[in-house]
Amino acid sequence: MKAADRWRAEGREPRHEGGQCRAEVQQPRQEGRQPRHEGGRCRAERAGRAEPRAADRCRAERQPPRHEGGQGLGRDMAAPPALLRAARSRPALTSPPALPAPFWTLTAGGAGAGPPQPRRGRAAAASIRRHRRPPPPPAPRRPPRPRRPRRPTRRGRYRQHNMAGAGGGNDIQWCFSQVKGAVDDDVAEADIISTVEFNHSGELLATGDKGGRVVIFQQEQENKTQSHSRGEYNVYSTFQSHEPEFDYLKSLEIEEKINKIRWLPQKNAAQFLLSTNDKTIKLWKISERDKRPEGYNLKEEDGRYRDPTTVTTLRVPVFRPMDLMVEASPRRIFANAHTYHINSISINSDYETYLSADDLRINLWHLEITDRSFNIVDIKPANMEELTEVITAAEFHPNSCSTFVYSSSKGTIRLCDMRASALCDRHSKLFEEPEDPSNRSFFSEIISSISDVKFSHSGRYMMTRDYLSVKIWDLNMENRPVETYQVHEYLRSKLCSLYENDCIFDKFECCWNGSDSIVMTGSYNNFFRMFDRNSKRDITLEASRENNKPRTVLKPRKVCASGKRKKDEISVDSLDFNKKILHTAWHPKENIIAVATTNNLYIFQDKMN
Amino acid sequence: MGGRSWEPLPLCAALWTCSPLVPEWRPWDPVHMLLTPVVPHWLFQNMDTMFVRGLKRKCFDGEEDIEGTLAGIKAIPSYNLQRQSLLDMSLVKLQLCHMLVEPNLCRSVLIANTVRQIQEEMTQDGTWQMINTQSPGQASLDRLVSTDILCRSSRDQAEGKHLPAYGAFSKDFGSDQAQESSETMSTASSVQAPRNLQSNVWEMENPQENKGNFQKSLDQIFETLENKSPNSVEDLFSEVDNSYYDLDTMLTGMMSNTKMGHCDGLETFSSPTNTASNSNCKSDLNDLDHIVEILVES
Repeated sequence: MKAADRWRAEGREPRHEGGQCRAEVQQPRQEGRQPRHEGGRCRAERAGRAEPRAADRCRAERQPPRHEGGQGLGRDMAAPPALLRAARSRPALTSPPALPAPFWTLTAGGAGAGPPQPRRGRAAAASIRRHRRPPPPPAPRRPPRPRRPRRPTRRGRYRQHNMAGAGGGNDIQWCFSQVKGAVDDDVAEADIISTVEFNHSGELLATGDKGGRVVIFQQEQENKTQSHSRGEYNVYSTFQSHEPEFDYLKSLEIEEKINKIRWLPQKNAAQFLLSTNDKTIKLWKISERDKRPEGYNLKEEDGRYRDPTTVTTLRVPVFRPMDLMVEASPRRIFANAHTYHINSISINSDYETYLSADDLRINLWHLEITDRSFNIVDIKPANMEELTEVITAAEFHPNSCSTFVYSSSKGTIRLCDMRASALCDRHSKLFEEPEDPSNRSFFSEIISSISDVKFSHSGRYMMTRDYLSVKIWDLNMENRPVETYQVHEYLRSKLCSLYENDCIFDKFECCWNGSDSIVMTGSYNNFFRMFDRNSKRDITLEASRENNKPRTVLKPRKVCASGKRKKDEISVDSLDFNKKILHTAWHPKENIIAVATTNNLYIFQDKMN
Repeated sequence: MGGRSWEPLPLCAALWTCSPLVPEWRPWDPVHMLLTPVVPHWLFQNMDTMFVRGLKRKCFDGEEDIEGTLAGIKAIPSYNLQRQSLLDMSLVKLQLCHMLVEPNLCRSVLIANTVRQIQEEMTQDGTWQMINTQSPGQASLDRLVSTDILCRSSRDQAEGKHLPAYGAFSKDFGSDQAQESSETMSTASSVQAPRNLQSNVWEMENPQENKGNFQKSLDQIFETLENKSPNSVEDLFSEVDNSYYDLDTMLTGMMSNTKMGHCDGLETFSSPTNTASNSNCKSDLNDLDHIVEILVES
């Protein structure tokens, strides 16, 4: 429309009629003239789309990103320092996502009124479709480490080491093996490691961080010549598992921090893991690709389309080997089932179902079905003002597919059997130790809150971690634990200070070794502790860069609680409470441990002679 | 090993980044003095040791010995002091939520349980009534004794630090009490005294109301955790003293306050709250606009 006409339409008198615009003047293509070429494809199309980094995407939407995304663990030690945190801000609100209303905002009949309404129809399909978009490939700042092409073969070749019989914890000499992560002291918030997990064979080690990324390390095959060290763990895959979201109904951000990662046992060449943030669980498939098709008729090697008229011969495309590429793709998104923050996921021994636990409810999912889940535990009171207890952790029994336990903030563990009823609000067993009256203080309840519960591999015992101790329970005895180990008893007199600086709310995790003879947990000042159940001895070690020569044996550390400080002992007052080890993992078959400090991952193994 | 890191945690937690475990000697550090809530941690050692003569105590300045006599005198009030300051701390913790992200329900529940426990104990003890029946002279003597000891080392740096605490408490418990507290503060000679005075004033004047206030604040917190709406977020922000989030404001306010009286200090604190632009509030308002825009368009 001419400008003059537009003015008249708006009721204004145009200043002039305007000349002939270029579109009118331009000569159309003469008939019969052949264009020299069709114009080709722009470079971006030819190169294949490269997804920008999340931070750049934020900037494109004219919102400053909350952080630059850190570097992730997939970096060498000599990487450039992590970027500074940017101020937090909201993501773009101009285009709200097409998510259906979460079902918990629908008027429900009451707490635990059976399975939630399934999300049907286009809305459900839309959200699943949306998430099936191929994930952004990792965009590292430096090229990824070159990998040797490998055939996925059976992994039965690692030497089995005699752990249980040889006396356990203190006969093992732990040596430094590797450290992953940036060197600096200025920790980018996105780099803070939030979970560590070995897979069932121990070949893969997954870490999740606060920026929503998952980094998977793979153990190199054992080198026959290097008999005195096991394979190193190197970056296998990095992907962005969760993105920050915004809950419009509550006007609150949903953090992308990965709370838990759980591996599924391997059934074919691909690996599967479940990763969860506060609200959404995702099933990721990690697969290798080492061949690619070549020799298309209509496509050039670089992706450009060929003119069909120029094709003179036909050929059959063939697969040719290529550099190994590891792809991670989300296969299932389990969303919108939790009102509160998810703190645990646990895969059932039937490998078909899994549970997810938040502060007040536990849901049972089927791995294939994403639009519905069953609520099996609900401890939400009718009146929220009466709330005094929350669920802190939950786990399925390793062998019995209908049994699970959940721990609470009051120091109790409840074992439930799903065969008893559909809603397992009534426990089958209640594990609770009577309180020691001599140790009673204002903080007794807070320090009795259980932060982690883990079954032993055998399934006979379970271990719980509260603030000051590790307790091992026999499933057959409910009234007290069979073993109790004090992790850092010297902190008992400092509880008020720890309450002031919120350290008393730290959630430490614990883990078993492969043979259930040693348990390990973390502490402050980058210390971690191991307790040998057979010899009743314990050891304190430190994860620091000071001992970072490979095969350096770690020196046991000791904290002196009071009185005279011996040489080499550390006094309680000089502990650094900002350096805490919350997440540890033990290789399921060998004496290799992964210990996560704030932003670094340390791998230690026992000294092999 | 002295690898002690003094970096404060992200700002909302920075207030409670204290140095609980004070080394034998360290230089006077203004930033961390100001960031550390002045709750002498010797108070919270084992109850048994409080009754022992020659109790050793570690302070910011260094080590001092408490005479056994004093320990005997203040044995009972110090348990109350401990309990009261724990209660105050817990209430502040409950209110100082970082409201951009949903607060941690487990932490809130644990703190709320602690508050309830203290509240029940105080009711059972009859502490409300006990303070009520104290004669004014005796009460003031007690206060003076305890505050003298408490303030021996903490006078200087505590001055500015407690004012934000007052700000939060006064907003929580009504403006009337803020008036009272400012008046009582001007009469007191040291800083810890106002804190205790204020708490004693609450206890004397309206114990029932306080209990109701505790319950009310607890309920309020759980309600807000339960269902959030843009309006409630605004309300929460209007309640919380936002100068907490602005370290510069706090520091500049304190530097100019060192010589001023306590009342003036309070006023100075309220003004930054009004004038300083609170990014949280602003961004929330922007989001409200956005949401309204979206609703109107659709």
